[in-house]
Amino acid sequence: MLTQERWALSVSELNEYVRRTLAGDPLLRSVEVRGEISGYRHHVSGHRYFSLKDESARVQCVMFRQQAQGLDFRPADGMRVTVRASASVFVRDGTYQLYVESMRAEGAGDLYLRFEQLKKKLADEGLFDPARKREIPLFPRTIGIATSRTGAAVHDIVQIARRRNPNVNIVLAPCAVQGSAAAGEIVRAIERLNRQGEADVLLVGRGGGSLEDLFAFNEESVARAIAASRIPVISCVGHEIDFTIADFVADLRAPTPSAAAELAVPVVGDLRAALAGMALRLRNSLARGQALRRARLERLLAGPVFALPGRMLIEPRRSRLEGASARLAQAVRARLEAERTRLGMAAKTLSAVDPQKVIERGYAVVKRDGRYVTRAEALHVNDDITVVMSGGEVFAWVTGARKAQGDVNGTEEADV
Amino acid sequence: MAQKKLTFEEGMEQLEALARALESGEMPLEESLTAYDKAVKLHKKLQEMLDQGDARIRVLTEAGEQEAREDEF
Repeated sequence: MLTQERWALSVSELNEYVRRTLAGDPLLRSVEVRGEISGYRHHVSGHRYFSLKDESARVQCVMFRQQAQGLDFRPADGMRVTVRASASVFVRDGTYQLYVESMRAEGAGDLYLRFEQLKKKLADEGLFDPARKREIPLFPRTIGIATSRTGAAVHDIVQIARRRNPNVNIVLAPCAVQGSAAAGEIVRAIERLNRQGEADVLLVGRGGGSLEDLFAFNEESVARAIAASRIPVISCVGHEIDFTIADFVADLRAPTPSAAAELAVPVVGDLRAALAGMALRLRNSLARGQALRRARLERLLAGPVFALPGRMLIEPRRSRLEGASARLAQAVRARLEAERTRLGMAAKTLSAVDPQKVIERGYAVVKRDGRYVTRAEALHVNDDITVVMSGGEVFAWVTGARKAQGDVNGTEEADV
Repeated sequence: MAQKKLTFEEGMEQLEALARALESGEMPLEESLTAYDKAVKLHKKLQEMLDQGDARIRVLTEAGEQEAREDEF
């Protein structure tokens, strides 16, 4: 008799049963499937994980490293491909997936092709030209943001902007950043920000996502709106490795919304410090200028312009001066010598006429009443006279006199 | 006569040029005093620029401008 109880399988048994069922189906053992790649991940192990999808369904795929070695192209999101795979179940997880053995590209993926074509078209128009990129202002008073009102992007931008400059004004023009309506909304957001005109720089972008998620920023309308923006634009779409057409047209590309905020808003403290340094420099500048002026003047005086004539003027003058003073000294010496000689001669002359010397030679000098008498006729008989002779004085009186005969040169001895 | 608004960057460049000119000592004294005055005024203006801003977040929707909620971001 059958009871109500059904025989229960364990999970392992169930999964194994499904696997065996699928494996038993020859079609599923080797099936060709056509679809669009999505969420493609190239794992460090070398295995590739992705989804294949069409308009209404998707299936998980794995291509192991060994099979992937046979790839002759680089798979990417959006590419239309055909794979040969076996449909099976990964027993441990209970996941149904395609184990891909080989893959071929079906022409190019729709999205990917559109991307490449638009990129070429706009590049040819010169929209990516480095020359047309505008400079981002060093210090914006107001920043404008075109992104989703919710989500990490706007949150990150606001946080970082505020941290770097607490006073910065922020204007957000919210817009969808994925889905079919996104491109139009992004365009209108950029236009609104330009019309309002207060922002000094615009940040346009969104957080990370798949290629389809980011694809609004590859639309032609968005690219042209960025190019037409009067206000400089920093693009910040997705992650570091994502490059959208908006990134090529923008005046500056940031790898993430956070990085965009850092590029847009300087740390106001740094600017204050720079200004303070400048104030100090200005305060000293007048004094420095004065010092330089003085130094320049001194250098001028000491320099060749003055030294050369100096060499011509001062040097000869100096030597002339030196010559003159030498001559002066010489003259003084000579004069001194001459005077000494004259003095010497005068002294000799003087000594020649020194009465004492005369007396010592044997002559006598006569005095009467303390006065010298030099002429005979001045004396009278009986005058008391003193005769000064070498060795002393002799007292005598005059007994007679006789006038001298002849001239001055010849003297006769006179009898006294 | 509408003048393009002076940016902070331009202001700093002008200050730099003034400082260099004053330091060189090549201006006649009267001119350097005038230049110094100009530099002081410019410096003050730049300082005011750094303090500007009301830290508001405004949301510019299709319908019009509105204030953001305090805690919204």
